[in-house]
Amino acid sequence: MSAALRAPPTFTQALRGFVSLADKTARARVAYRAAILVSLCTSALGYVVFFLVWRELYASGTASALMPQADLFSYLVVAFVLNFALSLQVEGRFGQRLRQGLIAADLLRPLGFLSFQLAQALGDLAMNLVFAVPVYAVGFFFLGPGVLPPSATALSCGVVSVGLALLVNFAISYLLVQVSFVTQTLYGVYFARAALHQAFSGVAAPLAMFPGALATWAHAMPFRHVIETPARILLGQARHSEIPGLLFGQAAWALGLLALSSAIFNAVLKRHQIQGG
Amino acid sequence: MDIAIRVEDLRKSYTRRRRGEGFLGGLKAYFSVKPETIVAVDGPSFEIRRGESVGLIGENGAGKSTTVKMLTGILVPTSGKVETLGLAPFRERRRLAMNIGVVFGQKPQLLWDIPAGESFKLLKAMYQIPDEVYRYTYGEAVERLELGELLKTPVRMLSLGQRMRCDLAAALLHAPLVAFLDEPTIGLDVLVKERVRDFLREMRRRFGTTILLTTHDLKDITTTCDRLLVLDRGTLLYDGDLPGFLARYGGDRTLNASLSREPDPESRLALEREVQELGGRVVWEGARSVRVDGSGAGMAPRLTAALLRHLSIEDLSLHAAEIDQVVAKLYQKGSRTP
Amino acid sequence: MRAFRFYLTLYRTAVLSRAEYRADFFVGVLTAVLMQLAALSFYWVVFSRTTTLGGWPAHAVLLLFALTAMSLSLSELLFNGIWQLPYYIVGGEFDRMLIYPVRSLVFILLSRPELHSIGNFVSGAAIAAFSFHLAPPPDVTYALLPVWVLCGSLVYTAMLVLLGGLSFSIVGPFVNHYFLAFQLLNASRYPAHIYPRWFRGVLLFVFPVAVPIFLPARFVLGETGWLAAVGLPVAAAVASVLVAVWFWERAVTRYQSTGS
Repeated sequence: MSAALRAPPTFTQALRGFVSLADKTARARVAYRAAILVSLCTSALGYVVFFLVWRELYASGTASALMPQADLFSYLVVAFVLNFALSLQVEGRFGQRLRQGLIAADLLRPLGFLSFQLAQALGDLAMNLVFAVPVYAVGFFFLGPGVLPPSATALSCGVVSVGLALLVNFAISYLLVQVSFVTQTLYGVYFARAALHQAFSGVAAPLAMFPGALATWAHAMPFRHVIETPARILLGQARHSEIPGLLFGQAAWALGLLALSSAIFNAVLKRHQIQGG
Repeated sequence: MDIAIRVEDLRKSYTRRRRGEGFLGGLKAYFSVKPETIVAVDGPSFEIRRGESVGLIGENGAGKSTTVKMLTGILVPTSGKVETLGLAPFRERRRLAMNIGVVFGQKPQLLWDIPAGESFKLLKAMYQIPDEVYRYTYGEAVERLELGELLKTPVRMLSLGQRMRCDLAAALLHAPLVAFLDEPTIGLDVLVKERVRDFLREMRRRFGTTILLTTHDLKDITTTCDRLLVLDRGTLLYDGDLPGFLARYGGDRTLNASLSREPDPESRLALEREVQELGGRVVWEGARSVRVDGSGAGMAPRLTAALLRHLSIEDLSLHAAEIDQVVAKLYQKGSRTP
Repeated sequence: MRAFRFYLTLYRTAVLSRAEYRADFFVGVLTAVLMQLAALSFYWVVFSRTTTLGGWPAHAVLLLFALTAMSLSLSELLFNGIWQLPYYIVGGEFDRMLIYPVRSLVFILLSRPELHSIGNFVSGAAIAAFSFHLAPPPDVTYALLPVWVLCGSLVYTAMLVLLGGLSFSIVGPFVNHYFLAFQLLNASRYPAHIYPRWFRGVLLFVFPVAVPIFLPARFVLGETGWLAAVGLPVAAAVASVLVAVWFWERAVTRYQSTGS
């Protein structure tokens, strides 16, 4: 007796599967809410240090020329919130699956590997927002309405930019995952990426504050589109004429990285099939 | 001194609050009401002399590990007295540790991913083992437990059975005065189990090691131990020698027979009568299958004879009670006594 | 003395175990250097806008960075095992350790060296060298440097032990609470006098991780004498270690009494 072959999922089925996976991922993180809160507090402490350094710079009069203090402080608050909200567990989950030897199973899922990872990433985001929103509120409490989007344009474009920022961040993580298929370990690339993110995403200062050479490098990399770009747009710190270009830049990086990832993925898959793995 | 282990009215209870996850849960639990008290060990008293080899059995959760942990200084008793080699285990943990060896079944000895041989070198330094003693125990362990090739292999590449053997060697390398062995033969095949028992016997012979052995394998007890302690729900149900235990509780036998043809009613009655006279019982399991149960010394041959006399037997199997069944039966008896 | 020699053997064994993962080592060192460079990039941003921070010239602030990096790395090279404590507790390995005739704290501290931290150490040393190149310090500084780094690593480790001791009560496979120490150490990268008084107090008196980092920089600038520059870090280190050991013993005793 032979069973009928299962048909590939229809679009609605796939969509439903996608949403339920995101939901499941978010719920799974609820168990770690206390640990996440602790992480939030400790990284907030790190941010406070940045604040205090900038405060000192403004007090000594050396920074005012570039950007009003209020603007920079608002920027730092938004940058911190975004940094926390957009932090994904893609590599962590993947690393665990890799260690457990379950990757082959993941590759065969009906949802497709990319959608599988993306759904979980959205689950991460959902859980992060639960914490990020109160933190944003705290920022508002301390610094006032300056931390809020100043106009409808800023808000609407800002939200779009945040969405694109998530995609860029995801695409970077996804690329790392593909690379680790080849290198069989996530370790080095993970921390290298963290270092580059810290230096070039604009978490500690907007790129306008960067010295020449550093700024050039930062503009050549996708990391700024994860933090600096959405923060500036949200706060209305980006000129209207800049916005389309920035959004386009985010989209281009996201798509480009995903395309590169797919190419690597297909190559790896092909090699596995040839080797019969 | 003469007494290796002394336990008097030993009690260990935990207050268990509903432990929440992580920080907030834990904090909340502190302020919530009604912590429940779980009594893991409920007042057993016993003494083990130097050189004795004692088996400790009981169901999971009976309090065996907790008792061993209190004897080795890992846990503090809630009340009662515990003394190992004349020392209070918790207060003089490190001093006691020099003279005991412990095998926790299924938990690897050392944390590091190094070859077992390197671990042994570390243990030699840790316990300050004199060269002659080390040469002897190392040699015995390598030979009897067949560790040769294993010594150069990193621990992560060893199977459970191989790791157990290395663990056992590591625990006895310093010729401790007392060895606490928690399920040391679990996961080992029959031949290797034999070698483990050999090794233990040799250590006892050479050093007079006192052994407290926790196990589910009856053969471990019969080959290695002179005495048996049975724990049930934290209390001591039995403390005595093996023959007494087996005579009292281990005599159950079950015979399963498949018949070449269906027996006629007279044969059935005759068998039942004979078996009942012997104190056993007959259970008919279908047209050509029968089970006979009985307990006591010499029952097996008599029940077999009865079966052969009255029925045409095609196949016969004899089944002796597993230690778990014996203990389970013991628990029933234990719970009935006031 | 015999105990010390044994601890050396113990450490050597732990290093051997970590050395098994050879491929990771070079990658690890490289990424450690990269992370230090990333942190340095903020210094670049700051000093491209100004010549002084809190009235301190660049070479002094860079020295803060260097001492922080070297203190961190020494702690990670020697005493990194404390980060594994929550996992040891959950996995039952901690009970295992209590079987051995060794002090549990030392055993744990030495059990998992982070060899990649050599990258942090080298980065820190390079920055220190650069700082001294920019502004040559009094000669005695070079002799005092190892003392400061040792004191810094001891204070930082002591803080980790204090936080780690909480793992006995808040059981679970995570180390998020350890990062409080890490962030406080990071705060020492900048001159403490730019911080509000209460924060400065925390860094200098409560968790004195800034003492072996801030005071040496003050010494190099001539703002404080060598007695304070040596005496206070040593005092902070000794006090921190004593407090940590005391707290540890209490935490373990409590753990053994309340059961696992």
